[in-house]
Amino acid sequence: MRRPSISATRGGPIPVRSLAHTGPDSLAGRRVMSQLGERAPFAGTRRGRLRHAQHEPFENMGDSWHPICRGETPFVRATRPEGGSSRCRGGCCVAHDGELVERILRDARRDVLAELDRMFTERRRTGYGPLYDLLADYPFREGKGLRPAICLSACRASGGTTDQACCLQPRSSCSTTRSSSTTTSRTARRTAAARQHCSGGTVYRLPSTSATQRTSWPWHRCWKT
Amino acid sequence: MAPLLENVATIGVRKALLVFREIERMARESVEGQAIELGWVGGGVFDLTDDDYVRMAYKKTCWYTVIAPLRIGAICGSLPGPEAPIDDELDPLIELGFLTGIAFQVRDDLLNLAGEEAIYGKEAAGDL
Repeated sequence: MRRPSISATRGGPIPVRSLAHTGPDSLAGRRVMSQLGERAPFAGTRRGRLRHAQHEPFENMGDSWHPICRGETPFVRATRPEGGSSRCRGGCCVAHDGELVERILRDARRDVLAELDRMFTERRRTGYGPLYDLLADYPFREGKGLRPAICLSACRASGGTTDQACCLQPRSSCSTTRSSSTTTSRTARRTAAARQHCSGGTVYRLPSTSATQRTSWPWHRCWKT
Repeated sequence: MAPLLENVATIGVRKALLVFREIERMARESVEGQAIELGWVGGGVFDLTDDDYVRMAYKKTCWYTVIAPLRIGAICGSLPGPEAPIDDELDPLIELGFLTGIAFQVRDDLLNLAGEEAIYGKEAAGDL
C-alpha cells in the first residue's frame, strides 16, 4: 500500500508558511498533527487500527500531554515519560523514547569520532601535523551527533549494517576483503553480500513511485536539479 | 573523501559514486543557501516572506543536516549491485528531510533568540 505524502492526504497541501508556526495550540499545528496521524506507520493494519483507537482528539488532551508535547520542554528528555512507556502518558501520537534517542546519538558519535581519530592520527604521522590539528578542530567540538545518527540509522533502516556507512573494521580487514574475494565467483560474492545484507536488519523497501510526483508541493521543481 | 574511498571495498564502486553525487549536491545547496543569507545581510534586505526563509533554510540547512545524511545512509544500506536505489526511490527522502530540517531550523532559530545559553549550547543571539 502506498503511503500518501503529507501534501497528498485529505485536506490538501499544508501551506509552507504554516510550518513555521506549528505549535500545539495553533490551528496549523492541529492540521499538521491530524495529517501526520492519518499517515502513521502501520496505517491500515491491525496494529495501525489499535494505534488510532488510542489516539485521542487533540482538543481533549488537556494536562495529560507530556511536557515535551505541550511545548514546555525545549529539549528531548533523556528519561522515558512517567510509567516507563515509550508513549506519552496521555497516549498522544508522538511516540518518543528519550533513552533510545540518546543511545543512538551517542553510539553514532562514538563510531564516527573513532574513525576520524584514526584518520587524523594517520595523517599527522605521514603529513604535516599542524595542518591536521586545525582540520580536527571542528569535528571534535561538542555536538549531538545528529547527522551521523541520521545517516547510520537510514543505512540500517534500508536493511544494511553500520559498517556499510561507516567502515568500523581495521584497515587491514578492509583490504583483505578485496584480496580474498578473488578466490570466489562474482555470483557467489553477490549472493553472499545479499544474504549478509538481509540478515543485518529489517529490510525497508523505499516506495517505488516518488511521492513528490503526486503532490503540489512547491519545492519539488528544484529537487531534481 | 578519504573514508569513502577506503570504504569502496565494502559498498562497491557504484554506491560510492552515488554517495559522491549526494555530497556534490549537498555542498552546492548549502553554499547557495549560505550565499542567499549573506546576500540578505550584505544588501540590507529585510522585506522577506516566510517562503524566502523556507527556501533559504531548505538549501542551507535541510540538505546538510537531514536530506544528505538520509539519502547517503539509504544508498549505503540498500541492496548490493544493480539493486541500489534509483532516483525515484530516493526522492521521497527529500520531502522527509525537508520537513524535518525546516522544523530543526525554526527550533534552532527560536532557541538562539529566546533560549538560555547554558542549555542551548551556543552563543545567544549569535545569528543576529
